[in-house]
Amino acid sequence: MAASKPAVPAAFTLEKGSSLGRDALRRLAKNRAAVVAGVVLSALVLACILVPSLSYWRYDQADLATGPTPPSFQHWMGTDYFGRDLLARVFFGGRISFAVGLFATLVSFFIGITWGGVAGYFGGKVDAVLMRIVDVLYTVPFFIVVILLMVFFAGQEGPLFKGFKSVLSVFVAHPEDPSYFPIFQILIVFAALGGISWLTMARIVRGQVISLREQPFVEAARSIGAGHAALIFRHLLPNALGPIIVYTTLTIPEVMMIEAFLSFLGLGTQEPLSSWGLLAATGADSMDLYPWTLIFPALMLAISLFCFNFLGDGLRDALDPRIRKD
Amino acid sequence: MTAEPLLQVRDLKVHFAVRRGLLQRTVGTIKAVDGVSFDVAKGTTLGLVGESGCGKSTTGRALLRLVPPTSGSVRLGGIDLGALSAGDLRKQRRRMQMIFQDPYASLNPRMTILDIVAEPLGVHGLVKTPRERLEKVAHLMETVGLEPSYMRRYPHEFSGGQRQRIGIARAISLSPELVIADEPVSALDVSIQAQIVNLLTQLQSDLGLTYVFIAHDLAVVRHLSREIAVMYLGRIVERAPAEELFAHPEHPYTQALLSAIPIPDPKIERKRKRLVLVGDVPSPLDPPTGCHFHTRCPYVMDRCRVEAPALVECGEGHFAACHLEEVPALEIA
Amino acid sequence: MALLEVHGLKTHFSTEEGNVRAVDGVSFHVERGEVLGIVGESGSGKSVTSLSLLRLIPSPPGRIVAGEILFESSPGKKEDLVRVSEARMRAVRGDRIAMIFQDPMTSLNPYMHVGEQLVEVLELHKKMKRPEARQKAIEMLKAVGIPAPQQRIDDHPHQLSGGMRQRVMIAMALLCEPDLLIADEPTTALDVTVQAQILELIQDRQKALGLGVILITHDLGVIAKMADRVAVMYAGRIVEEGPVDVIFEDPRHPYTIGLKSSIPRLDAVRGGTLTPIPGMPPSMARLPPGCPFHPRCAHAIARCKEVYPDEREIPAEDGRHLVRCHVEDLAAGSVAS
Repeated sequence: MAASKPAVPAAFTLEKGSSLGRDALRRLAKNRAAVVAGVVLSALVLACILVPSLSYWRYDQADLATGPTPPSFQHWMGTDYFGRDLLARVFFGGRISFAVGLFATLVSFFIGITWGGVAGYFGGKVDAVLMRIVDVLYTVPFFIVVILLMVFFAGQEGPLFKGFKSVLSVFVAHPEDPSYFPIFQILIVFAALGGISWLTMARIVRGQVISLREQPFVEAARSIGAGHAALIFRHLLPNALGPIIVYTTLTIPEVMMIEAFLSFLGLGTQEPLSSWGLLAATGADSMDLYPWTLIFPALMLAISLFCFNFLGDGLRDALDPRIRKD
Repeated sequence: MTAEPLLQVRDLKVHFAVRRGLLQRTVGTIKAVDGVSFDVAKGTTLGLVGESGCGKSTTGRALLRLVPPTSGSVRLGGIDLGALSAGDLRKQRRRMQMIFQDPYASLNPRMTILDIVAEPLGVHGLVKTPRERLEKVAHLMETVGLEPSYMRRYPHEFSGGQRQRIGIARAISLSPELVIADEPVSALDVSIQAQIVNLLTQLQSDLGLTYVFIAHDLAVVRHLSREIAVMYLGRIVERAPAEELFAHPEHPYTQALLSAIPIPDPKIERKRKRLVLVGDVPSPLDPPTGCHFHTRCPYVMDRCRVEAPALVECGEGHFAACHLEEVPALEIA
Repeated sequence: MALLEVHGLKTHFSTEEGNVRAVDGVSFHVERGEVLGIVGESGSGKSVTSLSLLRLIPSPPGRIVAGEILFESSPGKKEDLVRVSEARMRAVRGDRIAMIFQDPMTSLNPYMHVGEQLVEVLELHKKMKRPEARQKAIEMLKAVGIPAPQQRIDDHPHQLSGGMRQRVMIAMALLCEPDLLIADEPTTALDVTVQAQILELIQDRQKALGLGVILITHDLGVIAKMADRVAVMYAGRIVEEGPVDVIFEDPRHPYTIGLKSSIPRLDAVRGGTLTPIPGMPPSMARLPPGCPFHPRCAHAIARCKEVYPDEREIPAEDGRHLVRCHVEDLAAGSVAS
């Protein structure tokens, strides 16, 4: 058959198909609860970024003379025990809470994907060893470890802080400045939280990779001679993303909750920094006298958690594999 | 002098270990393919048929080394694929490709058609510029009967028959010599099956392809194949030129298979003599001793339970593995 | 009076893509002791039809929007299954009308052993006591050809092979000696030698119990073997209907004819090309106007694009032969008035 070369359509005339991602976004957009949640969340994050910078009052500006006052024209959320503006503190605290949630989740995301991906792809002994480690780590009681960490190793005299200071000395002029200690503590919290949630992520990724690697399209890729890298990055991971994204979205509120709890115990964020958990903790102490100091931070936390959960649910529904048409 | 066959398979075995327990002890073996040998001449089609568990799909995969054979040899154009290094094997992969059964699962849902069909070309460095890539893919799509302007679409936007065409385009993109078609039409609607079978036939004559056509539907296989091999529980029980197999099946299993396939003609159906087997296909984990078929064979003898029959020639190019001298004839229709 | 009479059944689904008219005006009947074969490909509406008969359509998104299903549940008493209460439907299902599905693995409860599922049916419909029900179940398993039924009855579905599971399904369906059996692609998932066994079993039980059977399949060979009458479905409607011999010898609808010529036959001359039906089945959400087959039809005329053909009767020997097509004489291409 003498094949006459077809007139190749110029690239811009080719009809663009509708990728699965686009379909998923469309479906997500139809889910009212998820859309509202997304909007509220974005507004909250934006507020946390902007408000503390734009606000008249600084978050650590104490005014002992004023002391705690209920919400008023001057202080929209009132003031706390030290006369600090609660609105500024709440939104500043939001920065920390969101940051912790986001970064700890990202840590768990990357560790989890790599660990689970390798275990799932190579299978056999590699898989067995990697997953047994995960199983063992699962049994470690998280809170006890964090408590031990914070009490024995994360003090100002402890070895970890010393190490942190030496790393810091490369970047800043005065590593001895005491205000660096709270930052160090936050980083410890990041690490601890990231260190716990990657386990489930690894399991999920491994499960996804295992179920995908038997799929015919992966076999087809192998049959044409594609190597490990192409298989993992072009074929396996993109198709595993669905449940991973959903799980990630639902991990963020979980992590935020744990941070709040740790702060409540006094192990998380420390003064003068604030996070919603810390604010709620101090507020709870005096909730019969100054209820607003508890209500506002708790409300912010609750709203964020709600929104993340609705969004996560919406994503889960939107990313559900299409029912075959034929 | 007859030319050397393109594909030569000798005593191919694929055994899977069954592991249990914490320490993954091997407790049994599934002999999915248990000593299979055949040749396929260039430009012809070998039909490989059998029911579930017979090992035909595993054989197909073993030929392409998607599954490592436990023993035996596969020679493509004289080259022993088992003796090659990973790099050399990759080069040889250009010469043999596969068409998969499930049109829904054999295409990566996140890649466009362009990417899917062009992937083999990219892997083997056969296209240098994006323009070249577009042209090659457009050409391939036309060859299989698809509209090239659809190449930026995604698999889920196509029907089953179209997806199968995409899979075929991918398979022929490297201009292979050998194509293993693993049940390429089983998942398609009846009216579409004929389109794809015709396409495969045409491609074979236009491109000089050699096929190993794996299927469970003897009627479809008959259409395309020059030679047919019937498998049962990992072994070939009969091998013959297509017409000969249908006219004079020499193995009781082949007879039962032919007898079981309903013919779309009620008058013939009513008159047919049936050879209906008793019992189900045994599990490959625990195959019967001797001749694997003896548990269901209407002509079973003592010898069959003990000794596995060898594939012996019983006619011109016609081989059957059965202890019976002469199997009673059975009219198909 | 026929055992089952369906008039103008319409079952529609509201989906993301719009209203899908999966079954769009289907009428047929089944007599006692007769096998009606419904043949069609995916998207033809044959499975939705069978689910509609037992009102098993998931209700959103589907609903029966029109039609009546007249079932003679006891001599002389006709009920319209579209209108009876859900409680009555539950009493009918499994007892008077039974159904077997394509994939026995998903239709049997994997957590219950086989005996429990059979006994459940008897307890529910016949109010039998457990020991008696168990005995009957064992007898039934024997009747469907399961070896050593006293042992098998305590097995779980995954311990049985595909063919055995299908036999269990058939046993479950026949336990209450129903009047009508609906078999939706009962052998499609089975190996061909097992298929032959199961079809023989269905035929055998049908004759023994005088059942009416609706056999749904895409396989013309199975139809040729099993059916007394045939209804061919395409895009939600029956396009041709008649006695099996007539349909195979003298098909009048281009789809039926196309289907026949596109199938490779065991007994045909080798090497001839298959004549496929060009194009693809239509999307049920966007049906073409007029006759839905016209885009693929070699005989289509202008009228076919506009008006859905009415039923036309063709004189036949042993039963009514009906077809929905504007073109009367396909060879000459003349048009029905």
